[in-house]
Amino acid sequence: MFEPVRDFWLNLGLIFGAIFISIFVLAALHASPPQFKRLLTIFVVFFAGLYFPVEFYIPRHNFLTPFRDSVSNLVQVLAAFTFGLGVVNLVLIHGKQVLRRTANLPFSLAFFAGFLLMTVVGFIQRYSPKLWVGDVGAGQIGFWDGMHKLLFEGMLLPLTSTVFSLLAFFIVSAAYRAFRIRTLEAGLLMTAAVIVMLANVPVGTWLTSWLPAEGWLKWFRLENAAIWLTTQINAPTQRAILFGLWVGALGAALRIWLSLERTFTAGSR
Amino acid sequence: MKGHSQREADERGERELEQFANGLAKFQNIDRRIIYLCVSIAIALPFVVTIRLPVIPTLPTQKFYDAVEKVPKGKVVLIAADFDTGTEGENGPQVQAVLEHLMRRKIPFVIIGLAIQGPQLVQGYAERLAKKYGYRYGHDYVNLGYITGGQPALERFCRSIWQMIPRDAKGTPLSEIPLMRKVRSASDIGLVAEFTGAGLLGYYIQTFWGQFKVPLAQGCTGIIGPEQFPYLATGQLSGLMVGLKGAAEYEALLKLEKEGYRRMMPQSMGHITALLLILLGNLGMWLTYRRRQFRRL
Repeated sequence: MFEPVRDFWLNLGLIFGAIFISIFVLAALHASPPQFKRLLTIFVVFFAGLYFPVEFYIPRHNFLTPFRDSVSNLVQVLAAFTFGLGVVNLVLIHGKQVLRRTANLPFSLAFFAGFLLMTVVGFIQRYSPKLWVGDVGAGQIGFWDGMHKLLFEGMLLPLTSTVFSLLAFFIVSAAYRAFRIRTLEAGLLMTAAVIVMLANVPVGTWLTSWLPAEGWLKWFRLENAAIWLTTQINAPTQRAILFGLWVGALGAALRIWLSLERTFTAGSR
Repeated sequence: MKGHSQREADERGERELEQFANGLAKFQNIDRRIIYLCVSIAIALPFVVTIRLPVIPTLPTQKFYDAVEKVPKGKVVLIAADFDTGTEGENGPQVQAVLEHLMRRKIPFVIIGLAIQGPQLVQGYAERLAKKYGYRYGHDYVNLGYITGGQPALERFCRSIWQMIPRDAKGTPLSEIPLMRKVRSASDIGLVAEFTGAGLLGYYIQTFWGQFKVPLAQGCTGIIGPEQFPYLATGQLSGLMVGLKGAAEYEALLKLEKEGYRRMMPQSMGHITALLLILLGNLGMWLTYRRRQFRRL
């Protein structure tokens, strides 16, 4: 519906204008009485939530359809704001740790070092890869590209993979303590778990690979037994859980949309 | 005299049995540091000793493979890299196996991601494989980068890729990218292959499948695998690759032994260690229970 503005200065003016208006609106909202803020929140949530279902349920190309792209853009802009909010939150939390010189100071310093390094290198690599280093020959990798690769693939990737892989140790320890066959139900659960766990690794499939791949005996091969368990026992159960979950989510969404859920409009009051 | 020595031998035997039972009973409460050590050794073992075991493809993975085989000529595959470095261990080999398949069949592909790091990771895999298969950026594959905005953004992407993302991840306008000249909307996409460790499949089902009938296939981490099977049963998913096992199975279908297969061996040892520890824990618990019952009598 709205065409992008091509003129650079007009674009710049619009951006700064939007920032100033936003600051003014935010300041006015901050100064307004709580009752007004609450009413405004209810109003905005109701109309924002109304658009998508009404546009979807009225047959295609109705009076709301031309605004679809603009609303989608708005959702993207709002989603992008959440990143900024996350950064502000992190800086505030770790900034306090640094200023107060608490026991967590080294971790907060590590955060600032990592955050600044990745941001600076990322921006230079994206927008000015020739900064201070000039051109590179064919087949060679530039300094900033190399730095970015080093930080992303050489540091971030192994660090996050290491943290994630710690789960393996905790899961084994927790499974060892929790999987005790005290009842019939626990025994059934344990049997299913053993079949699925073994079938998910080549050792399991190797254990029963001597059984025929065709005929009724094939169901005793661990990989087939595990598929049967996941598709015939697990899938219907999951479907039932998901159905209940989404009906519940719909109820919760309706409560939020109609502002019956008061925590976000009136806080704990 | 003979009877006396027989009694002594019996008592000694009973004492030894009691000591053995006492030792086994301790297995119900193994120190967690010993458990961590056992897991470490088990996972590290395949790096020292070569262990070769067969990988037999299962039906969900076979369906994924068939879905790629069925991609019509002239259409592209959308690689939705909805994962980050945390689940790269599982999703990485899955994507690499599918990219290898696409490149063998000379199918062009477009990379997007609802996770920030995903598209960059997949571009790295694509660049490495591109050298082997002669794929060129812009002609055979494109990275459109991270998409923010969730389901509404995907819905818009389906209607008009050019309006939704006017430039690729490097900042090049789509009008200057040869491949993108023939990729305008969801109707130009033959298959969406989503790789994730999170529950984002709903967005794709509501948009690509629900509104535009583009087939979907998913590679997911083992932990969310059970949640995805209902979608396979309903036909909303054309194929499913679960965890590292799925990647190894896909490689087996391609007659390859790469990352998926290599990473399966440490996982095999890890699973066996977990099962042995669970077995020992239960044995210890059972022996303690039996001894308690015996003492009461």
